[in-house]
Amino acid sequence: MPENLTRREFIGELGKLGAAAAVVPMVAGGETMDTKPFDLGRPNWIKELDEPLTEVDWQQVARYNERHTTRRGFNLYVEQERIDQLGELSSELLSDNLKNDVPGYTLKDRALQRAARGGGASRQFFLDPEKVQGPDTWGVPKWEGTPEEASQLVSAAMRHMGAATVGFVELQTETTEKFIYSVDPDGKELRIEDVDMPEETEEYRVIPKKARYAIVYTVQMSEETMARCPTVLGSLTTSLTYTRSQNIQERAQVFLNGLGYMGLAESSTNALGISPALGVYAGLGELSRYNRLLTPEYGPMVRVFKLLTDLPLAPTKPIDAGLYEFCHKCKKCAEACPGKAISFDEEPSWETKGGWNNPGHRAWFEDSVLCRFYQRTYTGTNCGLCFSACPFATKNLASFNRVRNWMAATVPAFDATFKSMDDLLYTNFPLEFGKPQKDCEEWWTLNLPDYGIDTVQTVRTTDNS
Amino acid sequence: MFWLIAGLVLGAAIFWLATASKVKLTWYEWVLGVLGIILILFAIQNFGASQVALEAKAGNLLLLVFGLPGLILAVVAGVLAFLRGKKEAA
Repeated sequence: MPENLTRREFIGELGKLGAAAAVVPMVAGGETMDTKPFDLGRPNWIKELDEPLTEVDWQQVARYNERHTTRRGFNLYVEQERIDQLGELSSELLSDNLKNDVPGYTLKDRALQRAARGGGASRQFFLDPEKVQGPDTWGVPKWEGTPEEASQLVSAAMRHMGAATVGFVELQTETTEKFIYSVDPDGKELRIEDVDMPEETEEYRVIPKKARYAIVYTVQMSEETMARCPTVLGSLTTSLTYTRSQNIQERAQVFLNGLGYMGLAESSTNALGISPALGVYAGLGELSRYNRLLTPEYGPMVRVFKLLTDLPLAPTKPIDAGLYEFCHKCKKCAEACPGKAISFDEEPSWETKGGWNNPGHRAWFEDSVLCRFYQRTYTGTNCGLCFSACPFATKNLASFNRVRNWMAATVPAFDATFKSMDDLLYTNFPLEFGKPQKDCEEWWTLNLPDYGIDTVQTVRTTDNS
Repeated sequence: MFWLIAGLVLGAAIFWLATASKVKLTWYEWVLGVLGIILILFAIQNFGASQVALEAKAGNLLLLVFGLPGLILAVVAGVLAFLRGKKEAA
C-alpha cells in the first residue's frame, strides 16, 4: 500500500484488500468448500478403491434374515435341548467363578459389566425419536448443501458424539441395498418401498426408497480391557461400546431431524443391516480373517453401526490398507481361537460354513456354532480372543507399530515377518490357551483414559492446518 | 521435551564433528554413526512408548533389537575415527 494516502485512497485500498481476502480462502487450496471432497484424513498410503478387495458376486447375494445368525437363531443349528444344557453350563460357570473369586469373574467385574450393559440412558429406535424439534418448529427451510458438505457435517457431528470413524454408502438396489436385512432381530420384516415416510407396525418396518444413504460408523473399544477376555471383565468393553453406540445413534437421529431429514436406525443390537459389509463398502476397514471389520485406525478394536437417511451424502470409497492381504499370512486369530471356529485356509473361500453366513462373497467364513459352544461352555460370556490376539490390536504409540502399519500397506512381502515379531513382542509365554493375555486383577489398578480408549492413537491426522 | 533436548544435543554434536573437531570423519564413518544414532533413537522411542502402552515386554525387546545394533554401529564409527585420528597424529 503506497504511503501518504488520502482518506479516499485509503478506503479504496482497504476495499481491494477486502476483496482479495474474500477470494484467497476459496482459491488457496485449489478448491472451494462446495467442491472439497470429504475424506477421513488418512495418510496417502491407505489407497482408495472403486471396489473393495473382498470379491462379491451380487447374483448370489440376497437380503439376509438376521434371525438366521447364531445370535438369534442358534436353535436353527443346534437342538433346543443342547442349547438349554449350554445355558445351564454357562450359568453354572458364571456362578461358580463368582463364588470362587476367579479373576475376571469376581463381584466387582460382574457389577461393572452389568453397569456397562444396562446403565445409562441408552435407547434404540428404528423411527426417529419423538418430539424432535426441526426446521418446521423453528420456522426455517430444511438444511440444503452439497453431498460433500453433508458428509462433512454428519461426520463432524457424529465424531463429536463419540463415533470413531464415519463413512457413507449410497445404497444401490441391485447391490449394496442387499446389505439391509430382510428381517430384523425382533422378527419384524424390513420392507423397502417407494413411499414418502417410514412406518412401523407390529409385523414390519418400512424404509422409504429415498432413504438411500447409509451412515456407517465405528465406536472404539479398549485394547487394555479386551486383553482381559475371555472373562466377564474382558467383555465389558464390548458391552460398553454397544451402549455408547445407542447414545450416538439417538443423537444422530435428533441431529438429522434437526436438519430436516429422517434417520432410520437399529431397533436393537445388530439390527437394520450387515455391519461389516457396510463398513467395508464405506471404507472404514477391510474384511479380516475373523470375518469382521479390521480398520487402519484401531485395528479390530471397534464395533460397527449404521443408520439410514434421505439426506444426500457423498459416499466414501473402499480402501486397501494392506490389512486383508496381511490376514492371508497372519492366522493369529485362528491360532488364538480356543473354539477352533476361525479358518486357517490360506485363501478366502466362496463356500460358507453354515446358514449363519450370508453367501455371495469371498471370505474366511467362521464356524459360529463352534464359537457359541465354546463361549457358553468355557467362558459364560463373550470370548473376544480373536480381537485381542490380532497384531493390529496395538495402541500404535510405539513407532514400530506405525512402521508395521505402513509396511503392511506398501510392502506385503514382510507380513509374515511382522506376524512373527508380534508373537515375540506381544504374546505372553507360556501361552495359556483360552486364558486372558493380561492379569484381570491388575486391570483394576490401572489409570486408563476415559472409556479405556486413546482416541488419538490413530494413523489419521487431526491436524487441521 | 526429551526429543527437543535430544535434538539440540545431537545437532550440536554433529555440528562440532563437521566443523570444529580435529578428527575429520570419512563418509563411511558418517554412515555408520548416523545409522547407529537413528537406531538408538528408534529403540528409545519404542521403549518409552511401550511403557506408556503398558507393553513392558515389547518395550524391552524393541530396546534390545534396535538399540543394541545401533549402539554397536555408533561405537564402531567412533572407534574407527579414534584409531584413524591416533594413526594420523603419530
